[in-house]
Amino acid sequence: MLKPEAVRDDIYQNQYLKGLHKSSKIVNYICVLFCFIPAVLVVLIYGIDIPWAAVATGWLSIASAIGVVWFVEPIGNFPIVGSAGTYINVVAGNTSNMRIPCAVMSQKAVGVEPGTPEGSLISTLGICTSVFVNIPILAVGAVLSSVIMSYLPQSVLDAFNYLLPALFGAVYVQFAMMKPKLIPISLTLGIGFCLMVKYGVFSFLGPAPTYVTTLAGTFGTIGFGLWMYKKGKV
Amino acid sequence: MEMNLAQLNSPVMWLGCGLPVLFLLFLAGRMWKKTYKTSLEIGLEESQLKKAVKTSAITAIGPSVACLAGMFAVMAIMGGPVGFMRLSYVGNSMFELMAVQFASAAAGVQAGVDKMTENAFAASLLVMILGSIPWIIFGTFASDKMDRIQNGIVKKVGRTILPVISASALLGALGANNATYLTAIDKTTVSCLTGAGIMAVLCVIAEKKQIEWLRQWNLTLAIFPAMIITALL
Repeated sequence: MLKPEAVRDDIYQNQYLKGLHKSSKIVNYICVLFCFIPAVLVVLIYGIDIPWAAVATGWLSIASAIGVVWFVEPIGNFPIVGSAGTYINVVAGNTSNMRIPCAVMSQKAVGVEPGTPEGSLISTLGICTSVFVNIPILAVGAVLSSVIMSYLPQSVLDAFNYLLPALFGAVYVQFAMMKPKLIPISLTLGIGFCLMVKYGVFSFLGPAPTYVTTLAGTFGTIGFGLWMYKKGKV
Repeated sequence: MEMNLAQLNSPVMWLGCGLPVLFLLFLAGRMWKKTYKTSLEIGLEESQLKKAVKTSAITAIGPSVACLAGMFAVMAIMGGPVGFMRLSYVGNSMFELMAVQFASAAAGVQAGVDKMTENAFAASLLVMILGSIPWIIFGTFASDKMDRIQNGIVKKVGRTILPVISASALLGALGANNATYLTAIDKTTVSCLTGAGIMAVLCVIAEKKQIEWLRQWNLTLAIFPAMIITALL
């Protein structure tokens, strides 16, 4: 049986998170350094030069397209995954298409609320477990990639392109059914701003400011959700 | 100069790209163990934890295969070891492909159409890395701060507001993601809508009939038929 709230909070904050904050910050910054390994190897072993001007241009393009997501994603996901989940989430990647569905479905299976110590612990367990499933599947795929690529007909390989849109559609519905009153606003904002970006309404912000859609969709829906909460409708 | 991707399939390159992935497995294992122990300490039952683990493991299967498809796409442009590392560690297929497109264009190559040059490859690799580390740096830097802010909100307004904030943030972000497919009006639109439709039916059946296994498998069961239906159209 769950211990009283004060005891749970004390164990979670003072025993679990305290040490985790320190150690996870160190290991995550080591993970940042690990990201550079392939680039170092490519330069040292294959003698390939880095075209810094193209890197700067490419980086500015990607930053202007998705830079806002660097901040919005960890903030938006925090109430679901908590501190520990955030540490492992940012290193494991594949956040919205895998880690968050796994975290939320684990919470739902156990019947715990996000934002509580038990909710954060369960979501962290879910995220870590998804890493143990995800990496072996990718490793097997990587080992067999040449066989898979050469034996599977092109039509099957092309069909894989439809897996990600199906996944996002399915994940949306999975979560939307928990708070159906938020469906109209989240879709209206998403589609509305996506079309405005497409037709150049925000062209003064850069060539493809797709982050406007994410920003407006996320914070607009949060604002609407809070308004509904105040009115007691959600 | 044209990039020879086959030369990247060397043991050193696989080892170098595999090391961070192994480190991630170690980190996840370490955190899993600590989290499991703390969960028992706060009073969660062992059976609940096993249920959470099982649910997550099953839920991860469908997205992992989608991730695998994304990995093949990245591998075709950036070679095996880089594709494997980027999809297993920090990245995701949508970001990686976008990074390759931007960086290759900056190096004068149209990714997936023209032959990859050494310059375009090196620029793509660096942009993938430099474009993804702000996620780690910000998330790591802000995690404890966000915890303090959240605790402040809970003290002031109460805990019941948190599920509303998290659901709104999640649906807002996913709505924006789906909008890209919904406004494309092509086969990705069909796939997105079919996945959503099948999922809705599965969720209703699972809730009405209280079918536990269907709740766990619904994501995997929704996306593959959606993919097949779209491909056949």
